[in-house]
Amino acid sequence: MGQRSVEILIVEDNEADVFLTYTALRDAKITNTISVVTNGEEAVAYLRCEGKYAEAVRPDIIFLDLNLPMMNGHEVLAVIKADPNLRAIPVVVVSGSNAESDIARAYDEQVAAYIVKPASHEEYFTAIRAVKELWFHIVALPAKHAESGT
Amino acid sequence: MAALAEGLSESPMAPILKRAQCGPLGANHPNQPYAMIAVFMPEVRLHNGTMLRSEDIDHATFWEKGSNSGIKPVGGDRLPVEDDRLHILLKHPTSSKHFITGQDALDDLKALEAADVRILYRRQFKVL
Repeated sequence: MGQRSVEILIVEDNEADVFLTYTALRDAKITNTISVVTNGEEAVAYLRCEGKYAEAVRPDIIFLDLNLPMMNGHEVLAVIKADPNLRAIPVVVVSGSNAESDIARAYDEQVAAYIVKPASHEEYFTAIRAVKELWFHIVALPAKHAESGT
Repeated sequence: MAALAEGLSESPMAPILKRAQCGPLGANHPNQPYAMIAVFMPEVRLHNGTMLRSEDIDHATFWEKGSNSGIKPVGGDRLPVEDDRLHILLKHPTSSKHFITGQDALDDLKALEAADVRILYRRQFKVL
């Protein structure tokens, strides 16, 4: 599979978690655009290009936390999967929760993968590298024009 | 340029100057430039003796001891970083095992700062 630029959206409210995920993504040699929003409502506005996100670029993949202010991760997922323009975007949940109910509900909401945050930086970086290998080198992502339905 | 290189032949910049002279624009090249500028790209010596060229380093990340690690165990609070730790990302990484901790991390951080490598800092929050 050929390389192409990848737009990544991180939906995470904790600054330290954002920093770690950003650093791990860079470690995985994902040098393309990484955007960050810090709550569920902003995530929906970003994805719909509303308000200050009018110029936002549709992400190729979303890293989503579940425990978010304003609108939690499950609610964001419901919006994404109900919208024909957004539902093809793979969503990877990165959460500190290993509750069976959270995992089952996330897969019911059609997440691409659910990652329980590992206990160390090394394991976390390894997990992000594995996601990178799968989603950017092995799996074929939807084409850029998919959002227009063409 | 040759005189300059001779004068600096014993200096740490000599290998860099030699590299600059080895470019495609030789003395008799029709497109010979008016002047050659030697760009000094410092090398970084790590605690274990490893030499890295700053141009080969993408960036480094430094977590200060006690800063928020971003790791949150299931059912618990986010963990502070137990010790100073440094992560160096090369432009062409050959290994993922490149976390450096403790005093070695602080020493290597100083070397990277001196070489003007881009560094992301994660500091401990201190109440003033």
